Amino acid sequence: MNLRRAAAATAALSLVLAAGAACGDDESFDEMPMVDGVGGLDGMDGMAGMMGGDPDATPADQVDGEVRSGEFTVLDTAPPGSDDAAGQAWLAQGDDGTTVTIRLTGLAADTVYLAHLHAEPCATDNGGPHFQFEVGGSDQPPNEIHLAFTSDDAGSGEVTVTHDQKVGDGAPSVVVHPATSMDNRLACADFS
Amino acid sequence: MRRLLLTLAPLRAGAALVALALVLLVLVPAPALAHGDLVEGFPGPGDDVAVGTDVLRLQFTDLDPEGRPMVAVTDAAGDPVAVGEASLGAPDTICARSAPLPAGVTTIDYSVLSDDGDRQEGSYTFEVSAEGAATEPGVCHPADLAAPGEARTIDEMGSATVPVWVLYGLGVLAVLAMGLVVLRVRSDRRSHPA
Repeated sequence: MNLRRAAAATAALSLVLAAGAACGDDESFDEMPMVDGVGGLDGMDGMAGMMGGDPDATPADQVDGEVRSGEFTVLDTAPPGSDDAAGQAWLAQGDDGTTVTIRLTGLAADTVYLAHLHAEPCATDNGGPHFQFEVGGSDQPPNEIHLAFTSDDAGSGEVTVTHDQKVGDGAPSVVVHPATSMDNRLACADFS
Repeated sequence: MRRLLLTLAPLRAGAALVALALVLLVLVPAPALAHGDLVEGFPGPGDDVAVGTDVLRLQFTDLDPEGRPMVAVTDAAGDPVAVGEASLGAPDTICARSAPLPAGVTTIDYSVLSDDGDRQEGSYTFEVSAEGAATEPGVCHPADLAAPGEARTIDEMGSATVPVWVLYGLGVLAVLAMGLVVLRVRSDRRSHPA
């Protein structure tokens, strides 16, 4: 009888864990207190590169392989007061997959920002939809490439993220948003 | 040996149920990806609109027309602005009347139900200024909209909902529990035949 109870409890626990893992698709970075200062995430060993930033990763502009870069331009959907935002983005692709690095200045101080690789150039609908390895699949990493960082006291921020697959030519731009107002696309950079 | 097999039988069946439930979780599609993305708005993200703007129009992709949309406005001081109950002005377009917006950086928070059953919540900021653009109500007819009521935040409007995956998991758990009950009854009948 005790064994049956244990089996039932195990089954219930397995289901809850499996359901949570399988269905956590909602975009909710702003509810995840996991961003750690400039450069990435903390406490996410083994997942940092997938989830938004890896402080130990080699920045894309220092990676061997094909490296493309672009300057950020402020978009018309940016939050008011974002005119001073500027920076650069790099996209490196090699045998180890894809590395993306963004560096920005002129941001609000001590603020969490998110960025995503996009499927269109900046001139097309401010970057269009998010780049996805499997189009129509999950809107979370690893099917997409997301970056997250917190600006410092001076309004500067940098983050690098890695992915073991190459994006090819499918991700021509990267778009940055404030985490608290995701519908405000702040700045976009084309990789060229 | 037979006694041992009889003792283990419910366990094997329980394990099979666990496996079945896990297979279902993998094979049955997880809740569809989010629809209900904001397409445009007036005021929209980053816009500069005129002081006194009092009609809000937000267009989304693929809304559930039966869903209860909610729109809240916060002024530059962080205080909520009175907004009337939001309604559909056209398919996928939410309309609401607000108190005339004062100057400053203003935030709109919304919560809508997409046609795949996911409640989408979002937020964006825009400027309200004397030089801002005049109201563009479009399909939103101010006379048809509920007058602004109490000034409330989106949380106070009751945007909290149970995530779909929780309901999904609870449903599977319920099926599993029923299976275990059936197994126990059958096991008891074997142990204590009438």
